[in-house]
Amino acid sequence: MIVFATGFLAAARILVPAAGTAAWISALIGGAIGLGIAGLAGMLAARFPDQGLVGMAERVFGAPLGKLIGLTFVAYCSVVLGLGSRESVLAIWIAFLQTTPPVLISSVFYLLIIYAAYLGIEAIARVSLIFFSLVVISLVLLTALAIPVAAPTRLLPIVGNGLRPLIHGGFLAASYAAESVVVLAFIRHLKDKRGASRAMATGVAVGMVVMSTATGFGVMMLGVRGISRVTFPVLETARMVGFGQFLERAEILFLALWFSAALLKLAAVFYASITSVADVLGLRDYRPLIIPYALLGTALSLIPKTVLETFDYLGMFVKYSVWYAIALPVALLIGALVRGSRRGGESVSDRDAR
Amino acid sequence: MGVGETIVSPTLFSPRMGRLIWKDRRGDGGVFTVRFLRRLVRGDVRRPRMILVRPLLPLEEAADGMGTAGPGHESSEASGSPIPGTLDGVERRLRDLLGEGSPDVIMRRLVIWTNPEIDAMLLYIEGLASRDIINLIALRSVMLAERVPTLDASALGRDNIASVFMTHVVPSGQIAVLSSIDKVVEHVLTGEAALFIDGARQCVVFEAKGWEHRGIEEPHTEKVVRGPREGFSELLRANTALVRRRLRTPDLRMDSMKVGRRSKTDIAIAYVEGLTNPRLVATIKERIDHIDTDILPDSGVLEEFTEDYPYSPFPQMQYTERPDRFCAGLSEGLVGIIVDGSPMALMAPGNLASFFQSPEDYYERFPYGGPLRALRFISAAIALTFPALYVAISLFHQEMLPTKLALAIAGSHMPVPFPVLVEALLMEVALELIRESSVRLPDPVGQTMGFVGALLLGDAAVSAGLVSPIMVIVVAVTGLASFTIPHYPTGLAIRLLRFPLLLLSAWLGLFGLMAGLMAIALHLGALTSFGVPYLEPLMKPRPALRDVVWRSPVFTFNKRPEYAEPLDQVRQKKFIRTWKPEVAAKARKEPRKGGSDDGEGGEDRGDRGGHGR
Repeated sequence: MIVFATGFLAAARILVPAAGTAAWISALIGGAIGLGIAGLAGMLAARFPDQGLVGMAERVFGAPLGKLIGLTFVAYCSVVLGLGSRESVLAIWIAFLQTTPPVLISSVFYLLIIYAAYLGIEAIARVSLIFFSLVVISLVLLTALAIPVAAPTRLLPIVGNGLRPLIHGGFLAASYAAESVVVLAFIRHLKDKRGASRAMATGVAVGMVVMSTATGFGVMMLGVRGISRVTFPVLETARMVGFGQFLERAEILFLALWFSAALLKLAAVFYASITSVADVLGLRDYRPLIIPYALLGTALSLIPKTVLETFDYLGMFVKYSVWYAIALPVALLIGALVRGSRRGGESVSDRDAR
Repeated sequence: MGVGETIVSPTLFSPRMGRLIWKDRRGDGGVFTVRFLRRLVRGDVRRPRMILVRPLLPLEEAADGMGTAGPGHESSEASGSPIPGTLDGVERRLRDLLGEGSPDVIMRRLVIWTNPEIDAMLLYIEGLASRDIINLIALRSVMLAERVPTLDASALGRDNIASVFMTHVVPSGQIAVLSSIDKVVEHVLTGEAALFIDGARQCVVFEAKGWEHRGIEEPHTEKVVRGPREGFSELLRANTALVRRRLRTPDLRMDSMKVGRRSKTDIAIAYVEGLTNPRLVATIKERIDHIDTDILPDSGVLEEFTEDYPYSPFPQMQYTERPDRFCAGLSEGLVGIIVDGSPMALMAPGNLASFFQSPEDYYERFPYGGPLRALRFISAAIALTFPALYVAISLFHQEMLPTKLALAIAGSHMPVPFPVLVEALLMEVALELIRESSVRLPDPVGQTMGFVGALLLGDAAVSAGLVSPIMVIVVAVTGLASFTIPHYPTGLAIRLLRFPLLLLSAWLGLFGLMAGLMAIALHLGALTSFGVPYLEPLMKPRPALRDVVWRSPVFTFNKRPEYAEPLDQVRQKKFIRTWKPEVAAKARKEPRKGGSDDGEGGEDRGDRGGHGR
């Protein structure tokens, strides 16, 4: 069950100014940080095998504080959701349907998210597993096709703007990987708890390798300057690739796949978020919350007024969110250690792996 | 009369060499029959005290013995109304139950040549009961047999005379003594015959089925080039026999059930004991038990009653006309359901991948089987999305195409007065019309009709300027692609979903198409068939590559598919072709390397190994 963040679309836009030509290394560093977060989440999962995030927090910090932490998690998810959906809608709007009002795209997008959330995490996970392979295949294909167009010399100098910006960029990239914390919220639905952290790690690793390749190729094809000028560098990259004489401008097909990945990711975040709200409120069924929360999400996604503002917000979010994503599992783990509640830990039986 | 009593009357013949008699603590007792076992299982019988073998007895003594056993024998059947004491009473009652004017209900009065003679009446339905059996078993054995005169009818009580007839007179394999007239009628309506004896409170019912039916023919819906040509027919017993013949394991179970208040349709639930997951069998039986309906004309109705998501466009049970496919399913741990009167047997659970499999994939060598399977998945994708893709690209994303192609499309669309969407819908509807009409028409006409319709209509529509030639190509390819899917309802589902996708892509371009596909994918992700996720076999890349989207060689199918959760995962030995030195060497290395778990050893042969534990 891999729900991995496919936030590489605009990633280059944020990374390249920070790390220059070495943006692709930044992405890899981010991947490493993300792997760490996945490991933390896996440890938590082993400790609380059948708790949601709110449940964990309540067990560790007591009910009131736990609920508060749950709410911060919901807030985090909401921001991810709002920004993510805005970003996706924008990409679709710009690349696909410039004459269609974005509201329409946005509502179709949300309808799908609502449907996915209604069906539950299993459906989302299964579909993402299938789409995961499709996305990977299409990216490999794209990369192979991009090789003739790429100019590796543009990657020089390797360290780019220096070591500090490199690491800084790494943290920026990590915020995408960090979104895997949301997995914490539905770890209790996993059949194979021990496989969870491995699956997460795989997801993060693949996501980050993809991000790194995409960024690297973006730089190779457009150059640092070029990237700073366009909105969605990966799209531009794809645009330069053609399938022989058959399909020109493969970016649309590519974007279609990417859209599905983003949709699945946001649906998972949405699901994590509403189940957490349901936990905080003590509801047994999360489904009544779907519609109100979807409205909230739409409202959030409309806060940035322009495309540029969206990216400003995105940049800001990316700067800080990684700390939250690290702090949350660390705090939970430390709290659990202090409390010494070692229930479950090793006795997790690995039933049918999924 | 204890154990080991000698046979006094050697002329007497009974198919059974001896009898088992049981006695209850409450003094209940009777012949050891299947019915007794059933009662034992149900808990009606409290700890039977003794079960002893008794050799064949002379009639008189047998009658005495039965005397004590008789009444308890059918006590569970006594719920219906009893059989009237006189034959006239019986006849009146039967006329009440079966109506006056049915000429096919035969009540034949006869005299049994005992000493003294007894009046009797034979009841059967003409057409359901075989004339031969009636003549041979009933009439001959009762009226002509030479040993009947030795039977001292006066010594037999009213209560046990029927039992004696059952054990000693009527030579039939399936025979029972019933004491409720409603039950008797129920049996007679399934093709059995009943012998009422004057004065007896019980009646002998014996098997006499023999009706006209269609013979075994080649299956019409699942044609193969290579493979067996036998198909199921409407007759339940013939179908179960076809299955038995191919699956001779003693573990094959055919549990029988009845559905339909009026039709009382027989159903056989087939599975392999020790292989099929008992939970699955129980679920299916429970769901069938819940069906409360008037008649069950076909297995399709049963499918709709029992499936998880009746509102989903996707079928959730497999059906097949082919006994070979049915048996293959059973051997993978599926549960088969055969409905009397339907040549289509059901198999559950179904999943998306199973609907893309044709038995021919396995009968033909694997170098052809694999690509054929993959071709079907590709053609499903074409059937689902091709018109929508065309509409989306030609309306929204012309820049995706090479300039020449875009110009050609635009040029061909020039004379067409309709928007692309209308054009596409027009052609799609026309295609569906041709398809439907050629299904309804008689076979030879239907095919001609299809060709003529498609060719003429397409050509005329193009030359009239109503549709562009490219659209005709698109729709024709789509139509062809949709017919490659071996499971008809899946093809229907795909054809049905094509229309919303078409509308969506005309509305929002590729984004709309993707949104629609995502909705379908999510729906499939949530779908289950008897609790088994619909996409299950696609979830793991290795098994999926081995026998889902591709078919690997048969000697690599070491494990059964997991989705039906069979109790026994291992289908065959891992190394079979050990007459080949390399394989033999590998097989020798195997146990040393990784023990019994075959994850590791499979690695070196890319297609091996049921990985994933």
